[in-house]
Amino acid sequence: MLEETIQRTKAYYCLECGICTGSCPVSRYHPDFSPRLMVERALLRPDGPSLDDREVWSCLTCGTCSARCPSLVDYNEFTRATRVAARAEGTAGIDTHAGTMIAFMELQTNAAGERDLSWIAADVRTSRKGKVLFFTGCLPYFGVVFRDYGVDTVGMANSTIRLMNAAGVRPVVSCGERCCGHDPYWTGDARTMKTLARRNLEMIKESGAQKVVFACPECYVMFKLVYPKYFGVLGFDVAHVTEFLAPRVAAGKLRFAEREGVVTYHDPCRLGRYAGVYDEPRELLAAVPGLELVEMPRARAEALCCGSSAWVSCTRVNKQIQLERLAEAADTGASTLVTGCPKCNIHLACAAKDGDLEKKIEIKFVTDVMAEALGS
Amino acid sequence: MAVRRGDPNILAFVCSWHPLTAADNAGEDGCRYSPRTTIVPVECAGRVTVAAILRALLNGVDGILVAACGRGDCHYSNGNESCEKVVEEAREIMRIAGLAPERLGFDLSSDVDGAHFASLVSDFAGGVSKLNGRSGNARAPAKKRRAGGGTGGKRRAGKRTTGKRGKAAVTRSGAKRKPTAKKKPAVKRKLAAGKKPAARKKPAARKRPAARKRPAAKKRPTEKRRVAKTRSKSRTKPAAKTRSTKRASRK
Ligand code: SF4
Ligand code: SF4
Repeated sequence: MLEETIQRTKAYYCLECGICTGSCPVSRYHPDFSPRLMVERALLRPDGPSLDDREVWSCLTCGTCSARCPSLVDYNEFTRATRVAARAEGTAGIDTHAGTMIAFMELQTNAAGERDLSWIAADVRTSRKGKVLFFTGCLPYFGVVFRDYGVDTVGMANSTIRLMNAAGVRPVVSCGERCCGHDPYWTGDARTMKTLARRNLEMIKESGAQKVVFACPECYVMFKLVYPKYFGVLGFDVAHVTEFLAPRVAAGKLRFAEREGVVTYHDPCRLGRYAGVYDEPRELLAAVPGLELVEMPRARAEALCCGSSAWVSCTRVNKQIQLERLAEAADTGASTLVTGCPKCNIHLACAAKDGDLEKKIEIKFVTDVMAEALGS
Repeated sequence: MAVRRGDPNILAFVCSWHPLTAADNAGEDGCRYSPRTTIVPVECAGRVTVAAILRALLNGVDGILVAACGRGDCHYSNGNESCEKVVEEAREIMRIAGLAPERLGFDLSSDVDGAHFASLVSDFAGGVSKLNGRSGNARAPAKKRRAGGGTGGKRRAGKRTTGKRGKAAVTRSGAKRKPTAKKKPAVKRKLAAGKKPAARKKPAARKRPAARKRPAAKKRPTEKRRVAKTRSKSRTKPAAKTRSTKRASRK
């Protein structure tokens, strides 16, 4: 198992340069955690890294280390494989939110019925059959859990559809949809992911959609990068909503009214380092007249992670990473931090609440900003 | 009560204070309720999580009942109120997932009468079996639900009895015990029920040995019941009194 992981992730190429640990946002605040040490232990100890080490669950899988590694070690995959092994040994990380998130994701493997679609706002248009399908992911669920955090994920789903409508598309929203399995996958539970994936692929096949649009970059990379590894060619196109809209905005299909303000954009790990989508969200924001986009020092592939992932292990270390990012955003002079990922939005808003930064900077999802600016 | 085909599989999270006392009394009094009910005692209803509820559904139960103490009666001040929020959140999540929120029952009550608990479970189980019959409601297919199967729920081994009160009722541990002849019929007892649960139960209580410490008491339901009752009583007493003084004053 370990041998195979080392082969697959090319961990044996490790030069012990320490660039990963030097880049890692977790290591900065938590000296006990070191990606370099994790790899070294795996390489040097015949029995492998100790799987009941809680640091197995500390990595954010943000991809910063892998992106900078001169030997191209796939540390994210290494982490995931370690977690699969840890799970097999019966250890697990500490679920955030008392396990609610992972529980409702698992619930969708078998027990759940047809999804309720009453969250769709009265003014947005969807269709039963069509070429374009909007995959909502867990947004309606998050809406329940994060209401008290002042994050309206249902609103994000609606504003996404609203923008698609404005571009002349009435997407299919299916009640047969399930969680994409991103979080189970990254916490080492590939089985749950595969069950969920199979159901989603069946649902999309039945719908006849040729293009699937995502608001959540995590769902997007699952379909784009992970599902094909397990299920081969999917037979339909996938696009993040920003990728879907950018060419349509450029073609003048959508018009935006004048808006004043300075915003900065936070690149989510999944959309940026994983999927390589950096320009489209920026093009969208630039299309709003009057809106000024300023960049944070760490942007694009260098962007700092939102500090929490896969609903596992959220500690004071994670909070410090988030506060660091919020301070960085506020320092640009922007009044709004625009995110390309609903989950980044949730985690950063949580930290802003914690650190009493709510008045300093507003955190908004990209489609919310765009839909608000819609006009003639 | 024999298990019949199609009896819903119910999981009940029961707070160890008032509601568990009621559950024990239901067993002792021989009250009948849905036989496929698994009781999971929790120290406080506030410890029930959304994840626990959803996982139960994932593992195939038909309905989950959460029984908490009545408003203002939580031993830990606000466990029942946080439980209420948890239940609300779980129901919303269930609704989104396409599961009828009615599969999650919630009761806030400090009634320690066995009949109260029995009717609570029966009413809930009735509602759940209606949902099971409804088409399009995603639960385990009926053929999977074997009569008598389930997850170690309360099952009665004896024969069916015709009387209103079972000859052989099942206590929480599953042991049979005969209801004492002296007990008043359920209806009357209900009418006679005073506001203070412990006071009402006093006659029966006096017959039993003095309450033991909790760990020992847990082994036997009767004793547990006694201890629980002492606690119920303690709710009605000024908070300043210690447990030992309470015991002394009861004698
Ligand atoms: S993926 Fe991110 S959090 Fe994990 S070790 Fe690499 S830099 Fe650190
Ligand atoms: S940052 Fe906040 S919202 Fe995100 S996992 Fe941690 S506690 Fe939850």
